Amino acid sequence: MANVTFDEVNVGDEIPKLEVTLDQMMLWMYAGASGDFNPIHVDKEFAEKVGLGGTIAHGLSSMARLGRCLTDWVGDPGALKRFKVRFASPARPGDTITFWGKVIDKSIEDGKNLVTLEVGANIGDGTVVLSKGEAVVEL
Amino acid sequence: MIDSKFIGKEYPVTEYEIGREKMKEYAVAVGDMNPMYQDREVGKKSKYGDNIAPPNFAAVYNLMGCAQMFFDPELSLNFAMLVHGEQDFEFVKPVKPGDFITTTGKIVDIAAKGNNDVIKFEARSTNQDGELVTIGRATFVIRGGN
Repeated sequence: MANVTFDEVNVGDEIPKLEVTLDQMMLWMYAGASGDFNPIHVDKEFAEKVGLGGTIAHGLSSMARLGRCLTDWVGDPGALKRFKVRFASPARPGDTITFWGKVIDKSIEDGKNLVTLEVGANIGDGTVVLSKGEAVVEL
Repeated sequence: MIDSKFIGKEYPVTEYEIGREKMKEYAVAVGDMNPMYQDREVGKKSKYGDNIAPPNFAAVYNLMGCAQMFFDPELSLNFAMLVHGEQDFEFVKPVKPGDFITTTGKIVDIAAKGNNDVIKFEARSTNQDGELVTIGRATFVIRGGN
């Protein structure tokens, strides 16, 4: 069920971007699904009191959405072999985040067709949410 | 600065059974409708023979052990100033409903970086057949030092 083949992928290719506008309900849903109920994500008053100016999204939820951008492209989620990011800045309810990826390398190792992508996430005003991202998929 | 003698410290094993509805719930929470997570027929016909969990579901079963480090009285980390700086996952084998995952976690590095302390945690998850499924490497920053 792969959507792409190794042969048709080229270094420099950009994968389809994913755009998501966050709302507080999404943060609550991620808290429930992950078990991470840290009040900075779920309690607006608390988040304001500790100087965050409101709730912030779980970094790992942004990473998961970036993963979705990759697996939407590749089709088979089991093809994702390596995935790393830096949590550069928090995203907040109301922010529209753009998740992106760009092919930076193709190689064959131990008979495996590997594609390496630079990946990241940012919001409209230029704030980088996820930086130094890298992913390896096997096609 | 956190004492570097804690580099190498290991924490007790954590156990997690992958639940079909729980991994679906995770996928839905991030708006991920890939049929491999929830359509049983698609799962059965796939090379995995069943549905598989979203890769980042590792945030649940692989990273749980971090809590032991966060609240380790020996380390006494300043949790209020702790932020998750970086995350790196190596997906060796997909996990499926019913998989029984055991994870061992340890501190692999402690360093000062400017005014901050940086602590790195590595967690290795294996399934019920003893196969390595996921390696997670998490970097936490304690702003202003511990």
